[in-house]
Amino acid sequence: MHEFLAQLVNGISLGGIYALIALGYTMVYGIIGLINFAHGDVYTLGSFFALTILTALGVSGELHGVALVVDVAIALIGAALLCGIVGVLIERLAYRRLRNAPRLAPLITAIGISFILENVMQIWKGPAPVSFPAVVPNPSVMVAGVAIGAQQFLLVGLAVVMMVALQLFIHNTRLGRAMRATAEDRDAAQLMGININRTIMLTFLIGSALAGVAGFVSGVYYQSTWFFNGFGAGLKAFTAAVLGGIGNIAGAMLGGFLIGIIESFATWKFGGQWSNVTVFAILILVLVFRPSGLLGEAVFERA
Amino acid sequence: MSPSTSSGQALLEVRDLSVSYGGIRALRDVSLRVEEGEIVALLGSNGAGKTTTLRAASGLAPYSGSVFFDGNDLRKCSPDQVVRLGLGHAPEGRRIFTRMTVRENLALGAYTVRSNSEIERRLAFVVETFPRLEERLSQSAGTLSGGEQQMLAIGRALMSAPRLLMLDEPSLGLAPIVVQTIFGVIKSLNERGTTILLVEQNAQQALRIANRGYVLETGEMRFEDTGSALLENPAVAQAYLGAAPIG
Ligand SMILES: Nc1ncnc2c1ncn2[C@@H]1O[C@H](COP(=O)(O)OP(=O)(O)OP(=O)(O)O)[C@@H](O)[C@H]1O
Ligand SMILES: [Mg+2]
Repeated sequence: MHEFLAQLVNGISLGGIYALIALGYTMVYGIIGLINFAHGDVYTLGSFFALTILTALGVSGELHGVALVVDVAIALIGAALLCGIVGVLIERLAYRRLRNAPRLAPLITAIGISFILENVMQIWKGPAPVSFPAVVPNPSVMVAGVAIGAQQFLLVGLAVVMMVALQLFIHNTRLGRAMRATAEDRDAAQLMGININRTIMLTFLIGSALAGVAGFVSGVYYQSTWFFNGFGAGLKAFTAAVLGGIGNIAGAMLGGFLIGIIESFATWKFGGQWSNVTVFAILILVLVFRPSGLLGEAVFERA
Repeated sequence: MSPSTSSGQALLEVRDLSVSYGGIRALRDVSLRVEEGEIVALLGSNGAGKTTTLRAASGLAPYSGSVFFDGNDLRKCSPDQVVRLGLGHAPEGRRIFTRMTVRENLALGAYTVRSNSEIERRLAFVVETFPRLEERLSQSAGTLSGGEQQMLAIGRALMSAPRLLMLDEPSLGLAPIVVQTIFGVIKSLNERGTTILLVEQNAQQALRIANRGYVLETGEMRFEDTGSALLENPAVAQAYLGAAPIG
């Protein structure tokens, strides 16, 4: 029972990261029908940006007091902002021209962008994993006999706050409504006076910024990062988005947490080498019996 | 670009418009104009190019030739800028946002307006025009009946308070009683100052309320005349009006 709870806490933490990444996949798919395979690498880029910012601030270990809040905020917001800009540039340079091309063209381009980002990051920080400073102290509290660290609270708390904020934005603001309109019918949206280029740009900005947040928290949580991290994490976050119902924001969150928990339990019960097999086997089962995912493919829809 | 004051141009001026879809010509050198205050009918059988003409004017289809609205060269405008200039378009097939509520659809129609009180004022006008929509404001638009969806599509276009409203087959598939309502609304909108470009299969009825009309045939302009003259023109009657649904 104790181990069960411990694994559940682990899974939820991991799931928070997947959920944040999955939001970007699902938003971009919802608005332009593209599986943005470069998105996982934007997540890795987020951890690289955060690491670079922390290094520039002279941070190499645990922070306390004001420095903790200020430096973490700078690194977090900086990484999110820079990732957002990268996402916008990718859309502008690689995808916009292909918006009306057959679907395969932007898909192949996305894979190409993914390779480019991975290679750039490999040149930037080398082919080996690099260590990430454990900036956030990690005192733990005991809950039902399980130690939960401050970092886990931070990670899950941040993920949940981001998701709630995103839902509120999409459903209650003028720009959010414009995004939903563009997702449902691009021509009709333009006839409302919506500049769809700007709306699509905003979608990439938000999705990529969330990946940047995920990159920062995963760096803190694992105290390491690697140029190739985004490949596996991206694939699982994409799986999470499909599991929840691609295009569905609430589905991406649910899928992210489920995948994290499943992976955690699979590693515990069957060993690490079986975790991917279990995750993807469950994905296949869900797709066979519920092809549109758990919450359905309703694009940009509240569950 | 500021609105021209007196260029001697019509409100909407389409000259030598040609549109091709992947090498196939849908429109060839089509010209038409709509003067401020008019109702102009654009007729023609299936595939004649009516929808294409409207889509080109709104900037949704690439074209050669020129389209001027209120003295502005629309070639230089993106579709959202065209709307901001005051050219509204209720497109073929309604194209309402089915996953949103009626109220959200109407709010989107006034997307270019920032003032909430102005939006509320326009919403009040739309529900006064289509009382059926009022009780359904928080209903999902996808669950409306066909006629209600058409009312919503027109109401949504009205929310931008267009100077010229282009309507693409507003009566398609509606019961005769609803068709009467829609035509009545078009007439009264016009009386209140909105210029109308009306695409219709229901040619008889469209010409009866129109000042002038145009008839397209396989992408080329065949006839242009006043509404009553087109109604009496035997060549037009035989080719187009006979095909109009009876009743
Ligand atoms: N997206 C498109 N791709 C290829 N061809 C198209 C496209 N849209 C229209 N066409 C063709 O252009 C021609 C004109 O079509 P358009 O929709 O303008 O006709 P219409 O007069 O509105 O007809 P209807 O009364 O049936 O609505 C048709 O031959 C049509 O097949
Ligand atoms: Mg048509």
